[in-house]
Amino acid sequence: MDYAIRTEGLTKRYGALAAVNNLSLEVPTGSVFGFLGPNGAGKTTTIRMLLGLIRPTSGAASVLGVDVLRERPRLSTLVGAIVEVPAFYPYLDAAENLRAMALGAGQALAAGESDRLLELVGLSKHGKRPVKQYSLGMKQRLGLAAALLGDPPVLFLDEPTNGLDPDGAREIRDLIGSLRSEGRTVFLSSHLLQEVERICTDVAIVQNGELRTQGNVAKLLASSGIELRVSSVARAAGLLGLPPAESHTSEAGWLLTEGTDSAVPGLLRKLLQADVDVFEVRPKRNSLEQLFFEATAAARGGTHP
Amino acid sequence: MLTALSRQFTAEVLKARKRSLFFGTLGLLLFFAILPLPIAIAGAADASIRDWARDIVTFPGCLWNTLKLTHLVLPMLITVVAAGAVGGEYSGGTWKMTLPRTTSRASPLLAKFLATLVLTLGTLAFTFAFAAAMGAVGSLILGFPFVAGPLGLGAGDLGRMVAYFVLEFSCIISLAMLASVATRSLIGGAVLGYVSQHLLRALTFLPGGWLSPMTNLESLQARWLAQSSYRIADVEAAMGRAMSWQASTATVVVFTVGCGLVAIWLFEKRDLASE
Repeated sequence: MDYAIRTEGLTKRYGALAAVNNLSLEVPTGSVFGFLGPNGAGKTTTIRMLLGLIRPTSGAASVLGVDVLRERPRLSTLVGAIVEVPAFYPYLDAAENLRAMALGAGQALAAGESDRLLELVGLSKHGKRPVKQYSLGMKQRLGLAAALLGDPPVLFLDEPTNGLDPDGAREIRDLIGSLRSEGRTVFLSSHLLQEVERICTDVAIVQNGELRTQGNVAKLLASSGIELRVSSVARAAGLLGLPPAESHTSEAGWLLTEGTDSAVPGLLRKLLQADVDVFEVRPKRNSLEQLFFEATAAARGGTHP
Repeated sequence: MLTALSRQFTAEVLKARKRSLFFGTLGLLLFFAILPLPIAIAGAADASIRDWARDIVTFPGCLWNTLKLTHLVLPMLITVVAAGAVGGEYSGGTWKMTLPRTTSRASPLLAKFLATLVLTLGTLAFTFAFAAAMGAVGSLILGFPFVAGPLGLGAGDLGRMVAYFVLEFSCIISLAMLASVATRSLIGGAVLGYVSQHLLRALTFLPGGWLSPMTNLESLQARWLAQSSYRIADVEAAMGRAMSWQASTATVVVFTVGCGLVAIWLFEKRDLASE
């Protein structure tokens, strides 16, 4: 597989504290990679290292094959980023901010490019207002526009929907989806599990600076059984030869059994012939929330909230 | 490299044009430059101060008066503007937006140095032009010719004045930028930058103090700046040795470049901490 971002044993220590410890990530090219972890897990520190803003204590990292530590100048045209809360020059308007940021980085800004980006993030109506009048959500949108300056192939987005209302958050998710379809790799740090589950193709979970798990979202959350909503859970369990119902009830009125899609017709036939009504059938999927809590349970003393 | 530097310079000018810090500085300087006008009005109303008013209102008196007044606050103002350019990026958190995209960290710092130098020199030139205009209006009010006689001010004198301001501003900007990078803040950069100027001046009285850039600037000021409040003999007495203008210039240039290089090295080496 082709990886856009790779880290090997990436470590950042502040004295005795390891903010990031021996982190080895593989981010497939063209993926939307969810980087999950509780507050203080080392997500932002990792992004800062990948952007060359801070130096790792040890380990290596590369973006599109460019060594972040040794070839930082080459990194400049490959990445765009929102790190923590995006910051701007408050006395300039949105278009001027984009211009100042492009020029400040030594890059040219084509005519009409700032208008295009502001249109893309839904800020075209507010482009002439000083940024000091912007809400947090508007700053997030402008941050995304700034990240897209120069059309970089890799985007690092740190909590990009922070401060956005549900409509705004959905727009940004749609935009991230369209960025991916253009072939970009998006490295998305978030603590919003549902958001990551909706838009990410791959995910890594970190805790206390250490990697807990990583992989393809579809594989990690793959079907692990069939759930049936039936008129009598106890009778259905008996008919299907399942042990006492409690251990197979995913939620009230639902019965969980092993098997894949191909087993569904046989199960239905057996239950309906025995006059057990079946109202709904669905594949059992692990949720990202469940995966997250399982992955981070050890550090919390094995407890599952 | 030069193309990137030129774009970064443009970005700094774009930001300065809208920054209240810069306009506050200009406003304060213009306050000093407007003084010939009220003095002329006072002179026209009170015959006892008419001759004093004429010296301040006519050319080049209006310029020397403005120069003396502005020079009281210029080191502090330039320090604040320079610290604002570098430290403001730390305090505002905007470095993290631009630095991942720059090919070199030295280049934005150099662009800020050049932009601050050009803008502050331009502001001073505008202040002098404004003072001259106010002086011309004041002369009309007083009924004196604006330029009464031979100026005694040649191109060489003007060139030396410009050279002095370039050296002084460069030195102060470089010091303020180093202080801003060291403290990673606007306020820290402004305070440390300004205090450092006085500490360097105080070094004059210690062994080897003749190397102090501030004292060498005073030595150059005594030589090159008309109406300077310093006399060469006094400065050299404080330094404990005679310094040629070449030696003083070299000392100031070496110090300025040294400060700039240390600032760039520190900027490259240090992590960009969370704001």
